[in-house]
Formats: sequence, C-alpha cells, structure tokens
Amino acid sequence: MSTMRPDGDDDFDTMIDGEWRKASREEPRPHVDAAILAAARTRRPRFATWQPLAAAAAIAGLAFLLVQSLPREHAQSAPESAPGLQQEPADAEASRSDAASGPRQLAKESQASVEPAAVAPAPATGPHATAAGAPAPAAAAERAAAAAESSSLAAPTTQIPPEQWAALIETLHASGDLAAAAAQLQAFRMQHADADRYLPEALREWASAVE
Amino acid sequence: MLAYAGGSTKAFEQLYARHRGGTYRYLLRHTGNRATAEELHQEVWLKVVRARDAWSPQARFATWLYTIARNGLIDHWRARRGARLVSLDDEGVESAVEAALMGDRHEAGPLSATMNVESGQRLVAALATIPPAQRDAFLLHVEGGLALREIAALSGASIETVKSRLRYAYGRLRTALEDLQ
Repeated sequence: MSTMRPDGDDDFDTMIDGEWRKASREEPRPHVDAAILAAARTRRPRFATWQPLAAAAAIAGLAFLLVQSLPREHAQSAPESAPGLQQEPADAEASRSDAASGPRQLAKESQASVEPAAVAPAPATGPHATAAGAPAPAAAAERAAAAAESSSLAAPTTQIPPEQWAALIETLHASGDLAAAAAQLQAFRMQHADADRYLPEALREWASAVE
Repeated sequence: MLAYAGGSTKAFEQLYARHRGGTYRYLLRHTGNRATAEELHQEVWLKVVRARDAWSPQARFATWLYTIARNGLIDHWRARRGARLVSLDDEGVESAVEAALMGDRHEAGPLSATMNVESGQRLVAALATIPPAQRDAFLLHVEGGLALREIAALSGASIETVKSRLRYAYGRLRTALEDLQ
C-alpha cells in the first residue's frame, strides 16, 4: 500500500502524502488575502526607514550653521567694536532674563550704536582684533575713532535704554570678558554721565577701576 | 523575499500565492478553528511584510515563514492559557494543548461534522488525535514542504527526534486509512 522511508528526507509515505493533499485543500478566504496583499502594497517607502537619521542630520546641520553664523556676525564687527564681544558666551547671554529684547539683540544694538566709543579705548593690537583677522594699526584706529566720535556716537546709542546697557556690561563682566565690559562701560559713560548709577552693586567696585 | 525587500510588490504576491495555502492549513490543523486560523494567518503574513527589510537569506524562506507561524501559534496558546508555558515540543503539556485544540474543534462544528466519510477527511480527523509535537512535524513536512533538518532546526529538536515523530504520525494516519479498507 505504501512505501515507508523513514531514512529519506522527502517521502515517508507517498500514499499518505497523496491522500493528505487531496483532503487538505482549505484556503484562506478572499478578504484575508485582500487584507494581506493590501498591507504588502501599502508598505512604507524604503527611504522612510532613513527618515529619523535624515531628520537628525538636518538638525545637526542647522545647529552647525547656526553656530557658524553667530561668531561670523561678531567677527565682522569686531575690529570696529568692543574687542571682547565675539567671545561672549551664549549661555551667559541666555541667563539674562531681565533684558527686554534679549541679550544677543542687545549686544548687536550696542555694537551698532557704540562703535566709535568702543574703538577708542580698544587697543588695535589686542588679541581679539588680531584673531579677527583685521589688525588695524593703532594710529589708524585712533584716527577713525576720533573722526567717528564726533559724528556718529550720540545718535544711535540713545536708542539703548541705560538699564539695558548696564545689563549688557554685567553680562560681559559675568562672562569674564572684562576688556569688552570695560569698553562698553567707557562708551556708556560717554553717553550717560550717570552711567555708574545704572550698574548693579556687584559691578561698582570693578567699574571704579575702569577709567 | 529579497526582491520584495527591494521594492517589488509582485514578488510578494508570488510568495504569498505559493505559501498561503500551506501556512493557513498548518494553522488550521493546529487550532481546528477557521476564524482563529485566519486571524493567525493574517498576523503571520503581516509580520513577513513588516520584517521584509530585516530579512536576510540565511535560511530558506519557507523555514523562516513557518518559524513565524509556529511562534504565532505558541503565542496564541500562551495568551489563551495565561502565563502558562505552552510548547509544541513539550510532551508534558501535550495533553493540555490537545484539550485546548479539542475545545477549538468543538467551536468548528462544520469541520468536525464532515470528518468521518472519506479517506481524506479521516486523515484529517486522525491527525487531530495525535500529539501536537508529532502533528507539528507532519504538518511542517507536508504543508510547509520542510526537510527533516529544517524541521529539526525550527523546532529545536534533533533530526532523530523529528524522524521519530514523523514515523509515528505516518503510522497513525496509515492505520486510520487501513480501518477504511
């Protein structure tokens, strides 16, 4: 009746196999097939598996560009303005919550407005000017400062409230950039006769040493 | 499967057409319930769809497919029996599994009602009476087309054990047919 081949890999009993295949013919119903095939067709695109990585790379790229762009802004204005501004740490700025328009914007405003005043006390041979790649000779810087002092000093700086200017100086001082803080203080004093009054108590002693 | 992983839906359709009946009947014979078998069948193939990118041709597709089906079956029994461990290889729990299968079979009235006339149906009925581990080996062999070594690798048993299970299963089925003559 049958050929039992227990040592063989395929046919243990061909008759049983044949009878089984005749009897066992059930299949899944069409709606099951349809659901499975639909799932297979609506598979995600292959690149979708890379989306998280792509998103992470994009974020990293944006962060890098942001970091790159911020120092560049300072570098462009560094030779003309307070030399320590380009080293102003972001976290120190961020800690200044009392500055109404934000420390960075404040810094930009102050750069724009106090350029001549900042140039005047800043030594052109200072480390920051050299690092910025624009080591203007001291004489030229002094001439530029003198020329600008009379013309453009007063107008823009009046846009900065004294409280914000004092806050900027405090921020620079807290960040350890004492040269920039001193330059800002000198410009502040030139603009406001009672500048020291706006300074926080903690800065008074340091400010008294700044000429 | 590699073609499907590469984006060819047609390749999946061919795979499915080739194996759909086998996986479904494998699950149906184990559960004895059409609805349960269809549900498990769908889960198995959806796992295949989800795992397409991770699939590597370390084994034959059929071996991989029936491994998924078998694990799905064990999970199904586990869920039905709470935390109690159920294994197709554990002869100690075979009676419990058998009881569960018989329970399922009672749900499948039309299936059991037509099992006693022709030889094929007698085979199906006889298969339901043999221990799950032997039934599993038989179904993997005839429905999945798996070789002894593939069944052994899939079930974690030795080739000799698988051979013994198959021999026993075939013997029981042959006896069932001989009773007809």
